[in-house]
Amino acid sequence: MREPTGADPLHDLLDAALGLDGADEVEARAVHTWGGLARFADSAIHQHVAGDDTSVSVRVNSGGRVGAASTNDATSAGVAAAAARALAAARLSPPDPRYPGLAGPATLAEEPGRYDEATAATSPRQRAMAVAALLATLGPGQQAAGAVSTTAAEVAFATTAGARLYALSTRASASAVVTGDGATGHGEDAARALEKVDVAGVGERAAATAAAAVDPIDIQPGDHDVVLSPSAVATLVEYLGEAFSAKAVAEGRSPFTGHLGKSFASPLIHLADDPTGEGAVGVPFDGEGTPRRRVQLMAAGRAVAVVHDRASAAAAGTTSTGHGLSAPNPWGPSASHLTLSPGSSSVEDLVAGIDRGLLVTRFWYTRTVNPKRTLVTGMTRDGTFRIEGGRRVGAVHNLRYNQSILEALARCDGVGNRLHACSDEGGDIRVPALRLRAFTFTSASDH
Amino acid sequence: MDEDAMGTQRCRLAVEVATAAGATYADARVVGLASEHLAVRNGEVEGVHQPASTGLGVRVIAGGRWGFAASGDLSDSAVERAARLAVEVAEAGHLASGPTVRLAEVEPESATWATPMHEDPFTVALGDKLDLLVRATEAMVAVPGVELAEGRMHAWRRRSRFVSSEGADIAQTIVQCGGGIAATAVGEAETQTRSYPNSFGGDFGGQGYDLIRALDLVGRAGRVAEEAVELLAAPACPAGETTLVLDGSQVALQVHESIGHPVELDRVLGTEAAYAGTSFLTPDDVGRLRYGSPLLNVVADATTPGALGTFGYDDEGVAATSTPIVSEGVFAGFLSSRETAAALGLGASGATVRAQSWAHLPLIRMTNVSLLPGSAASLEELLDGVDRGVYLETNRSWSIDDRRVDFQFGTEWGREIRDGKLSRVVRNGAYAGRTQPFWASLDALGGPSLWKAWGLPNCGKGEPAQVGYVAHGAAPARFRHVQVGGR
Repeated sequence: MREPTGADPLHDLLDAALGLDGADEVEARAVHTWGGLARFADSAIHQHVAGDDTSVSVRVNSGGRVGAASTNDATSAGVAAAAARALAAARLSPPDPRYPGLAGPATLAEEPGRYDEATAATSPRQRAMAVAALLATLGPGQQAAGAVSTTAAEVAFATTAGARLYALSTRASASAVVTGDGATGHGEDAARALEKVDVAGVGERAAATAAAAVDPIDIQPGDHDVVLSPSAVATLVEYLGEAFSAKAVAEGRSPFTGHLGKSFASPLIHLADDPTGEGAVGVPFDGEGTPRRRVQLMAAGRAVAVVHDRASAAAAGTTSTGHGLSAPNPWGPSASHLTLSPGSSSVEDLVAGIDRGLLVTRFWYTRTVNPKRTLVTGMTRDGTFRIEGGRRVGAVHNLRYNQSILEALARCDGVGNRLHACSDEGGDIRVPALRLRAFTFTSASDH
Repeated sequence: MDEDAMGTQRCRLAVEVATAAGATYADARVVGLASEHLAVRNGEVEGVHQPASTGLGVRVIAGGRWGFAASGDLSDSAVERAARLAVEVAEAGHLASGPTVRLAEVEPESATWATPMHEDPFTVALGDKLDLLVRATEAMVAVPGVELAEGRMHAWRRRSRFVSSEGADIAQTIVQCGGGIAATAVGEAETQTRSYPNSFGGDFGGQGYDLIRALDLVGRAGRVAEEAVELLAAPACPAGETTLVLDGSQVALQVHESIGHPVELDRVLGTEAAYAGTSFLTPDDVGRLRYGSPLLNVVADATTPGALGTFGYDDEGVAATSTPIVSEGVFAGFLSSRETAAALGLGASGATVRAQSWAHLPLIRMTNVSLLPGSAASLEELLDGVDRGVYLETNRSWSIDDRRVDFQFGTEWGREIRDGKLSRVVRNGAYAGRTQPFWASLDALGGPSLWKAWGLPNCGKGEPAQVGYVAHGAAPARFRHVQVGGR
């Protein structure tokens, strides 16, 4: 199916759970997803998938004991059976003293544009045409690998406490790694609608980067001034986002534990989680039925707030910010719509401010080394360039970095003036390019 | 109609509709997934979740190109729609078309297979499982200095039916389970976590609840917690080039990242270039490239009893097998599929192709890619003769480049080695290197008594992203001239 089921049929399904006998409280959530993804490699589509599914998850509270179950048997009988399984699990569980109760009635703000009918109805042929448009931008001798994706979701949510929500959303993305003469380049874009995705631009950027990245030379590791392209910035921001979880802060795993309000980064850094902003993807309420809210996490370099779900909010004596995952959720709240405010510089301006340094297109396989320091490691990939005399002058081999994200952001002295939507991990991150001083690279590769 | 008969009927309908719509090859899988996930924190239950999902995935070749479609609705109309959609998807590929897909031959089988086990984890009382995690985490958080004590337990049951247009009809039930505990001590500047029996949520296998019982989580909880606290006060691991001894679980992860992934033939042929990455290996390297020291013998064995990557048939209907990957240090073979085997003229698929669920396209995945045991009878034997070095245990962070050459791994627990003995505890132990020189520096390897298959239930690959369940048999091992540090 390439169209929504509708609010009423989905809520009818949820009512089969909410009518469960023997439970004190019931929460039910139906998610219907459909869409497809065309992967290409060697400039040909080699994997193209399409599908749809409706799943219903149910959480039950019985005397403070909580259980959850889910099913994709999208019939009233199937949902009722899942609810009965959740109740049976709850009755066998010890009481949960941190159970925060269920969400009550809520009103969603009018936000047109989260759902694009054409994107939801995208055919396999239309995805293939988008791939062909991307491939048409390649230069002689270049090959591309990547994906074009279109997905749609409708989510219905209800609780016995009175919540009753429904929303639709769509998302489209394109990404490519272009290879030529032994060099690679990368491009990506994402939006609510396929027509808003600059598919050709993705190909052009990746092709141009690959063409510029030929004949790389060795580079000594060490501390280098860098300009990070938006894709590389997105990686750092994504890992930094984990530190703004109220649960991580409460458990002492965040650098902000006991230090909210203090300055950690350059005054140029303004970071928010903004699920309500222009172009933000996804439905406007979280997995617990709380309307999503914009939260300013960092203002002029100061860490000013964290994101909450219902459990962390109850423990902290505040209200959820709408960052809860669907239950059960042992991981805590999640900032998944991170936005770094743009500055005033073009990428060329940022590069012009470096006498000797590096321009990084993208990071790869980044992992946390020390969460409390926000120390991460990873490799550069798909175009790493020397900067000399304020100009990009040639490619270098890839490098491994070991760098505290907060310490890097403290040495930021330039912010790009264009936000870029980064799509590779399926998240919703919007960031500009950044100029960072003395970024630590610890080893170099030979490719 | 019982579940098996229903699955067969749905699969046959999909294959018939797909071939009638123009597919020259079609296979269909009906998969019923049930799982249980338990999370306990500081003696309190944090989550009890029992998901279930059933659906159908149809894979076709039409016009020489692949197409795939999936549906969670198993009604006749939905199955027929999915089959026609798979053909529509394949036919759309002509807009950006590559070489015609060809498959290595396989004898179509009618077969049934199920994970051998003594005690089904789904029949163990939920209250008993939670009680085990509650007691283990209570024991950990009772240790002064431990702020966070976590316990996890997971079980999966995957009932599948596979039917192909070539005549295969295979029923399979795979049961897997596992779990573990972790204690975290929190300091002003950093946190230290100690896990048992491994990080990533513990250890996992394709076996019954016996695996959990054998872990003795409650009995080990106190020592795990004490080690977390001890780490917080320990000096940083000294930096420099030295002799490195790794425990079996870290060797398993080293195998995963620097042998398991680079030998995946789809990566080698470039079809994962944009997401998972490529490989430093080429098809010409088989039988020629020196991967490591003569002690390095690696197989991909999907028949290893009780291991997480064990099955009867892969998701192309090919019977599980064991394939040599590295023999006495020389690269010997790839992980392959029917398509990649045909592309390289290998004759037969290595039976590695699996999908996370009915909704996912089957891909080349690791099975049990294992480093065969050496001869050292004990850890002490590996330490013997090491004047100065470092012993590191249990992975904490992992990173490797897209060609699987330059890596850096961090670990939870470290001990200095002095004059052949384990010495003081060190924290934040990490090591870095390059795949071939690192494996060439392997000069001693634990024997069969130290060897076990470590299950990893979190191997990511593919777009849309899929999680794979794989394992690596490994024993503690010794490496010379390795760069270590303690950031």
